[in-house]
Amino acid sequence: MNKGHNYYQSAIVFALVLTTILLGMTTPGSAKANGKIAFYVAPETEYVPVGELISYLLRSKMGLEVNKIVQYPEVGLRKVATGKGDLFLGLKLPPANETSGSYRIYQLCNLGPIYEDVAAGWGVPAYISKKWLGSSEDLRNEKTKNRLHREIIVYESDEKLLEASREIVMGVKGLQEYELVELSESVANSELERATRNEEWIVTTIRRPSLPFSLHDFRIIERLTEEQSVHLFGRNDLMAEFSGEVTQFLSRFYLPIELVNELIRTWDQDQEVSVRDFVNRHPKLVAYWVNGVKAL
Amino acid sequence: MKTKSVALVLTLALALTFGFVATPVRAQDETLEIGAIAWEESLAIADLIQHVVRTELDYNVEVTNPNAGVAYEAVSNGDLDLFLESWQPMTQANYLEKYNVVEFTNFGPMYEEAKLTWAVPAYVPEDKLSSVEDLAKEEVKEKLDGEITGIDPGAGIMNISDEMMDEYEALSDYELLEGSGAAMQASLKDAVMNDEWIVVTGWQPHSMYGRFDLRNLEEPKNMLGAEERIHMLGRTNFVADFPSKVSQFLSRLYLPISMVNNLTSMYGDMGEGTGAAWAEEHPEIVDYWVNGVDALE
Repeated sequence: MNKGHNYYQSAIVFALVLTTILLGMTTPGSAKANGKIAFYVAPETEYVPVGELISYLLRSKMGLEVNKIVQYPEVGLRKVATGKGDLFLGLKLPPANETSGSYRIYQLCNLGPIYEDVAAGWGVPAYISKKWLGSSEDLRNEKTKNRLHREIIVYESDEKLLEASREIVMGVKGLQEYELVELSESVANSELERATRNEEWIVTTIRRPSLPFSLHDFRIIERLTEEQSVHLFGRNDLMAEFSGEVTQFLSRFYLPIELVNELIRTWDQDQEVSVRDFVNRHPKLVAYWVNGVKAL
Repeated sequence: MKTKSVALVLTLALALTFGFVATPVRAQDETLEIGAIAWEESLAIADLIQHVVRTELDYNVEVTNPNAGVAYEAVSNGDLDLFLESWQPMTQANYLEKYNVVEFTNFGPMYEEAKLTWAVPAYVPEDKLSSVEDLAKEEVKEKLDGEITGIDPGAGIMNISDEMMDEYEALSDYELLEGSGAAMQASLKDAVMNDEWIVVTGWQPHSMYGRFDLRNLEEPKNMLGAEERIHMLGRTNFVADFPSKVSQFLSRLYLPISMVNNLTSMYGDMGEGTGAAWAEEHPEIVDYWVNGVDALE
């Protein structure tokens, strides 16, 4: 092996080492640099399937390597605000409680609502005609009281709805006769299942979207919370760090609440195929998210 | 016959009564108050939103033209329902930090790839003036009368340009002129007609790039920032206070930058009425914004 060849080999090794060092210095999560995205999703029934849908599309349509991390909102938001994460799903706005923590919302890229009409209240299954039970006003009707056995089912784990229900039942004339039946989540779900199977009348506290809401085709007759929207957040320099293809997809991603419920329901049935089937069922919507106006 | 007429009147009265009862949180005769800065792209988008909300969603709209500072204050205290031109993350960072933006209803980016610029007409020789640093040259200073032509005070580009005046040694003998978008364009037009040198503060998208052959100056300290995204900000509880057809339309409204340029250019030629003309050219886009997934499936 001659001297010149050794120089040549050394130059190649040097170039490889330099390339490795430079690659190692790139910002974590930068898709432009390494094709990876760190996606934090809050551990709630509604966020996990929607997060999986977004991850699936980022993987299959954008070719990104998605690191989906199910994590509490405070942690996920902090990671994204400090640039250690790229995306976060799991915050409703306007916030029900004072937000706290080491981040401020302006330090994030708010990609806007990805679904709206988020609310909670007293709900009834759709088979109960609106004509008879269209709003909480109808609960004062004597026949309605009898058909409901003067009972309103309340999930005991949802203290906020429990408290709001107590205030209404105690404070509104004509509703004092109702008993709030506090049940654990599993017992309440069983009761709901039994009642809907027999098409019995039932009023229960419920959140939209949620699994019970999507399973039994509910409608809310008395709202107990302000309406909120669920937003997707990115790191503040998202647009600089990721390609337009990715950021524009994220900006366009928007679901009607009915499709969120659909996704929650199918996810509960089979997590393996839920998202893939959703994409197959809604090709035009997916095409718009991915390709923008040219898909319309 | 008379009985029939009485029944008809009663039916109509009942229908009207229940119609009012069934009206959403805000009645149909109430108004969506939009703040659009008097910049062409903002006015063009306001014209489009006004057209769609009025004709497709049957809701009243009023457009005013506050500057950015006034708009943030007005959205913050509820005097304005919607502000169309929140430049993020950098240009309006001072306002985003000042106001409790978590209380605002952020509809997300309406378009991306926007950029703040300092520009000169393309006939200004590039070898003499291609960068902000070149403004230090005596010959350049003389040609420009020591002036940088700005827009309205309070605009994000003006705040940053002010900082640049302090930061760049090359700008120490220059004055940043305050005015308005329209005044800046008039000065630019005068300069171009007389082959004079001028530096204007600007941004993309902007119709001046369609009207004149311009070149952006390099800005080595990167104070003008990278590409920006433009958000619509609504007041607190916007979603709860307006019919969902309005808030969902705003959530779905998103334009590629090429279409913003196209819309802005149309507005430069047509003024009011641009929104209607653009909507007529792009019915499938408007249909999706208004009807969502129902327009697709």
